[in-house]
Amino acid sequence: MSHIELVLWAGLAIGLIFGACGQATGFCLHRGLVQRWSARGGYKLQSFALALAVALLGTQLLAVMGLVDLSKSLYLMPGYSWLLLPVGGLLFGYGMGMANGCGARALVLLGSGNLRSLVVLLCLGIAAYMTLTGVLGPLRLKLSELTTVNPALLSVPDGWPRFLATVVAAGVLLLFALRRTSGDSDPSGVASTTSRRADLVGGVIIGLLVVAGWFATGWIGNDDFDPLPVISLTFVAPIGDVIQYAMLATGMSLRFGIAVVAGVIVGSLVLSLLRREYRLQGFETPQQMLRYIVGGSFMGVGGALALGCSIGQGLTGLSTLSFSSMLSALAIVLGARLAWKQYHSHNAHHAA
Amino acid sequence: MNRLAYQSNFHSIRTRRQFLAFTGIGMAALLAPSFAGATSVWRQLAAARNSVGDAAVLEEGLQLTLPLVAEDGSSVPLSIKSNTPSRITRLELFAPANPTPEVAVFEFGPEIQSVNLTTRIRLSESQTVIAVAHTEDGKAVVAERPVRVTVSGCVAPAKSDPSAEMKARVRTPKSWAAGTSAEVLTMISHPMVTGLAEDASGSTPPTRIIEKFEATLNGQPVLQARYFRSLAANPYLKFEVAPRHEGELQFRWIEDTGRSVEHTEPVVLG
Repeated sequence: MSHIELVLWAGLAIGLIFGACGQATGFCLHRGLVQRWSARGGYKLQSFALALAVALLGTQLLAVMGLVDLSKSLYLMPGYSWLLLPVGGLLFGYGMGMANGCGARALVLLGSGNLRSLVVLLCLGIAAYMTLTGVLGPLRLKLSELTTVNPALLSVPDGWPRFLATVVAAGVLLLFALRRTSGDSDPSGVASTTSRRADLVGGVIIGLLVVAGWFATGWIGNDDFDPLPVISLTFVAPIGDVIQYAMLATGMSLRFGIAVVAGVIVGSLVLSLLRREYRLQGFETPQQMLRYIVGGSFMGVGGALALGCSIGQGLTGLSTLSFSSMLSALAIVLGARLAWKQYHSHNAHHAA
Repeated sequence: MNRLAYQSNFHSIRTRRQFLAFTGIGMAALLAPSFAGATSVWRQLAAARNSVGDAAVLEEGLQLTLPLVAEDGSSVPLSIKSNTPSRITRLELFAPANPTPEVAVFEFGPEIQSVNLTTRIRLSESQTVIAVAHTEDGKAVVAERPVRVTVSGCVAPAKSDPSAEMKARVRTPKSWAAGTSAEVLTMISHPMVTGLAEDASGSTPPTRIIEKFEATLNGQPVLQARYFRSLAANPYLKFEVAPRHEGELQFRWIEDTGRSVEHTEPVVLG
């Protein structure tokens, strides 16, 4: 089996586990942010923090052992746009709020029969490629050229600074993740249907999958003659890739991202069938459908500009300690906050 | 029969005729390209016509594989496989819309019974890539493949390090079976400067490319290639060869400045 085939199988396996885990635990950054901002109980944000801590430790370990050359990855490219990254992040975060979850969450939901997610995913994938290589492509390139910076420092410097940054960041994240909050005694029981333990285990698994992705593309996929792009979990371009591959398979080769996305859908489907949680769901009103369409499209455009999504930048990008990823991730959270004010904070007030 | 039924019958006849007409036109449109002949772009390129010359043209026997959509025009993978009754002696690749339409010219020795090679090329824009192969019995086999080149998804200029240039890498099988084809992978690190691109400082460095690649077995030429600037940076060539004798495979890359690099691999028949 060639190294390319091995990487594709690894991607499928990673996707299957991600889908199953996402379906079983409901892993979702957006849910975690809403839980926090609406002061509901629940451990989704802790779960995400744990995933980030595990991803950070594992990824830096791979790098320091020389197994994966992270400098070849998207997040450590010599130049990036100081404008498009934050603007994209804001757009993505806002779209995520409108669509009630990011692309990864939509894939998991699709596996359990949620047709709203199908609409979100189609809009996300098409909008992403419209921005990358489509009608918005020339505008994106023009703006990118005008606002590119080539900073001397792309990430925390190697050696002691990186070691310290990794340990301190992971430590802070772990402290936050493992702390029991007062939301533990949640009288209404509405806040979370999964136990704290399930959330934490889910976070660890997702974090390990990020590390597995780096290992697959960066070590297994490393070949002198035909190296594969060094990537890990991300759910913007790969969703567009799946749509393209479905249409162009006779003239397009499979990629790691496509294998992962396919795996997520199948993994979630299998688990939801096993747990009898499969249920066809659609939109309740046309207004809701429009909101999800716009949300998905915002995520596609924003994710393409920000070079990633809540998982792509929030976990994978941040695991490289890249400064541009920190910029994107922060913008994503800000965008989500703006959407929360618009769409989700009303509920919290109503519930109270 | 009441009026509504009469009208609906009338409608269905009208629409059925229209439907048949549309499908007829539709099917004709789908079939038309194949009627017009699968390869027709090469006739519009003078270099391709010159290569074919007076030879009888075959449009089957050469399988040219390229991605339908290439997001990175600076490195587009190209594969070519031959399935012709007569051995191929010479293969030429063209990218008609490139500033230099010639991509590469390959000449094959008797150890290469059928062509099965892979490389990476540069495409400046969407176009149809052309391959012209000459067989031992004097025929020309032509293949074409359209490629759509989009803007690059990620703008990441490759930093070229002069000290890392001209480093050759070769992978050959550990043991060979006499007369059986096996894969040889070769690559040399070289920026293949086109002479058309501006570098970071705003100047345009002059053309500087690997011009020739030669593979010989015990001094006899196995594969000789002439590269042009339409070949991608870090020229990569994977090809199949079936050696008949043991000995040494010697590889040589020659830059247009005269600089050259050599690499040798033993051939052990197992």
